Amino acid sequence: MNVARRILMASTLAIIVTAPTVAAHASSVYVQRKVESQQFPVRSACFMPPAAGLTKLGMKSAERMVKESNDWADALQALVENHLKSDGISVDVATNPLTSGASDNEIQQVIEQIEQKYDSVFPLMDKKPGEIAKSAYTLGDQVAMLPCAANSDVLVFVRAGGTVTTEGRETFSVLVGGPISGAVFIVTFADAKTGEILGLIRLRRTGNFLESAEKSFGPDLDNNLSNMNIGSARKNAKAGGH
Amino acid sequence: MFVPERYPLPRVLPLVCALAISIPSALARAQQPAAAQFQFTKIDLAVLDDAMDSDYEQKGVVFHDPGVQSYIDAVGKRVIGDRPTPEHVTWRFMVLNDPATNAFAEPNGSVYVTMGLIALLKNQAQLAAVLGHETAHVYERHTYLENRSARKKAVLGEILQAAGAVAPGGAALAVAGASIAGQLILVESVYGYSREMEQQADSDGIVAMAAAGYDPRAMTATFELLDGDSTLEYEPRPTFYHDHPRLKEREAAASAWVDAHQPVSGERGLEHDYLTTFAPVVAFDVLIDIQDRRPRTAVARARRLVDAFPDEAGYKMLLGQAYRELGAKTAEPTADELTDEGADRQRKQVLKLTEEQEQQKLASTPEGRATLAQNQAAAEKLFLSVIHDQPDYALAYRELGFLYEDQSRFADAVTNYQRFLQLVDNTSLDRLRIQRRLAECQTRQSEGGKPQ
Repeated sequence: MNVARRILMASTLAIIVTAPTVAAHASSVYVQRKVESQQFPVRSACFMPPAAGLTKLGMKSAERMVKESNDWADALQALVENHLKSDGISVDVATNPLTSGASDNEIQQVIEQIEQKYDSVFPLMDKKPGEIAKSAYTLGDQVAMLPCAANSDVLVFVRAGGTVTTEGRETFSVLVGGPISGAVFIVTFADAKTGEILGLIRLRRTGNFLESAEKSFGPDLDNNLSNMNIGSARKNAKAGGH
Repeated sequence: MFVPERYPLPRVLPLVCALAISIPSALARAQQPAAAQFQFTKIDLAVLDDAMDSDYEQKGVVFHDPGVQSYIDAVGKRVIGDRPTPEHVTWRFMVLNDPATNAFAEPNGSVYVTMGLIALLKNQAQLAAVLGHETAHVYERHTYLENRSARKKAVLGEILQAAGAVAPGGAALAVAGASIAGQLILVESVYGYSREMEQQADSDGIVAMAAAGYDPRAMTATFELLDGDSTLEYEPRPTFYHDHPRLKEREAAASAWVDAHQPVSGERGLEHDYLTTFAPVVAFDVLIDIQDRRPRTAVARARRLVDAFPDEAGYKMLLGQAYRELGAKTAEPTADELTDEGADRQRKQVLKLTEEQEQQKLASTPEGRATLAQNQAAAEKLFLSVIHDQPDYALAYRELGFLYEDQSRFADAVTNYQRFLQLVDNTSLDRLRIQRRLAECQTRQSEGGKPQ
């Protein structure tokens, strides 16, 4: 049997068994001590191109939501950008050539290599996120080839996947069991100079997560950024009871 | 190294016989495609869209090169021949920036061959075999038929992402769904149709390529190549083109067709001509393989380029980089890795250890250290050879710097980084990184060259 299909079946079983019991909101955060302790303060961030995948799931069919996926990816990146900006962190995007004099094509090639490295590291990082604290994962110092890396403390990767169920499927799933609307949203921070993975936030939602990125993920994103101590003003404000 | 269960011969034989018998009818089908009688339903039309094509273009994952495009277009058109274009189909042939060895066709006629597969094939006839197979899926309307008859199965594919989204521990799957490779998981056509449909596409494909004047034996050779390649690295997301038992069956069926149609002949095309066209694809594939933890594949692909174009400095550089990346790993799977137990150990190693941890583990044994020394020597020789031929080739100094830094030869690393910085202009994207490395090596050098 094909391994991909094996994973497919295992995952299907997992969701049938677990979906009804999954909390509507769940989040986890993993961070290196040097970020938490402000030994590595984050004052500037460079965003890699976001990526998100949405699927519409009916009783008998499923369809890809390509345009909606891209819009959602942009919305999630804007959400993270806004939260960082609101705390005084300057933001930029990886595609910006700045004053490097490099062509778009050269930058695109570097971005593809870094993304490939991230995709290669991600499965293990997702499986053992606790190892982030032990500096186990790195994208290599090739990240410093991005023009924005020169002026940034961290690179930010925004990734998300979600399923939107039709009303019929939702009702069926609630009664009998099965997939319900839900999403996972992952933000990863990497050192813009060394490529070392510094932290990861993972947020899960069930229900209508597409209506508003801020409403669905904003409060938990804010909390987790505070827990990572990214944006110290936020943490100070919290500590002061604001 | 993942080696799937092998099918015992008695299970393969009936299939071979069945295929040999069914080929004449496949020939008839290729001449009068089933598409002509296909009646579209609302369900079928819902499947038909160009969104995926637009998405690939927008994300910049389609390989654009005029020479590459005109070559693949020409082979695609030749395989199609004068058969009428089915309704709702516009033929497009494209190379996708994906290191996996795979090809797939959308029902709208968009046929994608990954750069991993392009980099593996040896000649035009083998590309024709792949395109013959993929266009057959479109002619036979397999996406629609699969969607109609097995909609639950399609739902299953989508559940993968749902599972990833809400099931504990499944986030990797959902996020993979957001990446290119992940999106592909959602498309059934990408990971293979039912066995019957794939058999039909193979049989239609071999007929189409033979009718186009290509040597049908190239299809058997393609499966042999794919099968050999499938043992090179552990593939976490194996596709239909990377499935050992299925490849063996397909190889046997294609051989049976050739045996039943002796004498066969036809054009294959020269490997050198093929590589001349696709060298930019292969070179980019090597770079991506290096990032994607496929150092053996990177070495194999770069070696092909160097063998075909021995005077090309850029390809020697790629091979050197691939050897450096290989580290303490052998360029070919070891005898142990080719056993089921060894393959399982390899699989666990890839799934449990980071690349750096895997290298440390390998280098902790005498064999690993010896392999590391061999690979580093091979890389050094290639970089030095480039410098010998072209003393101003900046990247060779950078790569030598990396290599010497790996070996804690900080003084040598400093010399080479300095030379790199002298040679590159201020617009080099790599200037800052090398300046940092230079400073670090100078510090180490002053500390007596002790490794960190």
